[in-house]
This record gives sequence, structure tokens and C-alpha cells, in this order.
Amino acid sequence: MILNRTKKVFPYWHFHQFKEDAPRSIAKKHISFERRDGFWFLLKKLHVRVLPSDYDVVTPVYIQFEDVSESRVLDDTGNKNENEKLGTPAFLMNQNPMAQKSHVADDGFINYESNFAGIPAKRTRLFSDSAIYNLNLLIDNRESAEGTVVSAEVLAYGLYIPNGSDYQQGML
Amino acid sequence: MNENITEGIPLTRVAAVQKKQWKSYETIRATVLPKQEKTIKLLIDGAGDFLCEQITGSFETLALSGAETVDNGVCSMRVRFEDVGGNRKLTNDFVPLNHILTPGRRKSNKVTVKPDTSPYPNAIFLPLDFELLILNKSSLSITVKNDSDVAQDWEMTFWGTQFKGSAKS
Repeated sequence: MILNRTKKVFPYWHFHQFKEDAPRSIAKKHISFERRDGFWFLLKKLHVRVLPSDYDVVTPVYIQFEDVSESRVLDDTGNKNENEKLGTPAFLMNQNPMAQKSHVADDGFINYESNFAGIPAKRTRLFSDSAIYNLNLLIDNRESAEGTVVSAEVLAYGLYIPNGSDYQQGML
Repeated sequence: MNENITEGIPLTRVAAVQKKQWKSYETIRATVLPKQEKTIKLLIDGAGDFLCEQITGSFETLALSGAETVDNGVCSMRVRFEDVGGNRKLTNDFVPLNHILTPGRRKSNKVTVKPDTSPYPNAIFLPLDFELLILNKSSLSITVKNDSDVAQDWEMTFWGTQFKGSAKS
């Protein structure tokens, strides 16, 4: 019985590469998950990689997620009085902070250096029928060096499950 | 199964369960020619269905520098998965291998510059979630695109539970 229910569930990776934006600014990127008839999307892991064009590990970039459906900020600083920085230092959420090289593929995709394995953080969030299947990613690049632009990659991992399912009972 | 940990789990019951399911893994590897894509299929054809739970893998990071093959550490392979039995795409786009595979990058013996001074990968073995039931006699399609000017190898291991019998019937 459990297998019969499990075979309706399938994993999904949403990947987005956001190209460089204007220097010393805040960029807002939209991450749109695909709606599928008869399914809900259970986001489980979220993986962000922020890549300053100066390839400097100490480049001060901050990121913040917004849950569009709930009008809610998902990352917040604990010390707002200390500064007006937006969100969390990218270094703390960055899966490959030491990228120092890149290569542009024929289709324009940017391949980045890979000396550190990426470990996605847990980000459970159920997108049901009534939800807006979007997250916003804000990238605060205001403090980086003159001329530095920032690229970002986001990988979301989750499960499409039949809508109305009880995940706890015999899914995965 | 008895969930009372103070009483333990009777091994006779464990033995009975193990006759119907056991932990297993499937490994698949390929070489992708320069600037090309290659699709191969992980076929489940055994005792029954395979419930994949996690994935690990490694890949090369080779490039051409003049006439020499070097390991510059840049991940230039991307992957797309498709559940053939369920006729479902499992990614919206090609995903860089260094986003989803650990231990990830590995050193290669194809480097032609000697000595090979390419950096060592800071590898960590931490299987990532990949939860998919692959029915018996069905397959997972894996397409890897190689953006490099050099042929590169990759390998993946799918960790999970092998069942005796199938949910197909």
C-alpha cells in the first residue's frame, strides 16, 4: 500500500542561474515553481550560491528570501540596530564561497569553480492549491567593491505530491 | 514493527522484513564527449521496485589549455533527469553537477601537464535527498551535457531500498 502511494510522488529540482546585475544595488529575483494539475509542491531544500565578479570571498553580499504567497520575509538579521543590511550574509548561506574561476558555455551558461561540495539547507514549505508558487530572492550588493557585480544560482529540491495527501502517512 | 525503543525490536521481525526489502544502491557512470550531451538509463530490473532515497556522485573538471588538458576545477557538466516509467521530467533545466553531487569534484588522471598542480577538491561525503520510486523494469533517464572542450567522466550512486515485488501490479 505504501508503495502504491509512493509511486505517485516524484522529486523535482528547480534550478535558476541569475546573471550579473548592476553594481552596488539590491536585485530582486523571482523563483517560480511549476504548478502541476493534481499535485502540490513540497519544497524541502534550498541551495543558494552567490558569486561576486571579483571572486573575493570577503565580498559583503547579503541575501534574503521572501515568501510571496504569505507576504513574509524568510531571512532576517538579528541585529537591525547595528546596520541596515538586508538579510543574511551570503557567506553563511553560500555553498561554494571560494569560486575563483568560471567558464562561459556555448549557450551562455556560466560554469563555476567547484572545490567545495554544496550542502542544501532545509527549507520545508508546502505550496498547495491556494499558494502562489513563487519565492523572491533579494541580493544586497551595496557594499561590494566598485564595479563588482553579483551572479547567483538557486537550486530548490522538493516533491510533487498528490494534492490533499497526508505526507506523513506512507509517502516517503 | 515495534516502536518502543525500551523493548527493542525483535530480530525475528527484522529478519522477516528483510526478506521483503533491503538497503541497496545502484551505480552508473559515463563519459561525455566535448560539447555534447549523452543520455543513459539506469534500468531497474531485478527483484522488484527500487525506492531511491539519496544520491552521491563525482565528476571531472577538465578543460583545454592550448594543446594540454588541465584540471581547472570548473564544473562544466550539467544534468537533467527524467523518470521514464512515470513519463515525468524531474528537473526544470540542466543542473550543474556541483549543485547536486557529493563528494563532487575529483582529481583526474587525464591531465597532460606534469606534474599535475591542480587544486585538491575539498570533498565531503554527504548523500543528498533524491526520493523516487523506480518501478521494476522501468528506468531513470540521465542526460549530462559537457560544456568543456575535453571528454569528461561522471558517476552517480543512487542509495535506497530494494523491494521484492512491485507496486506496478
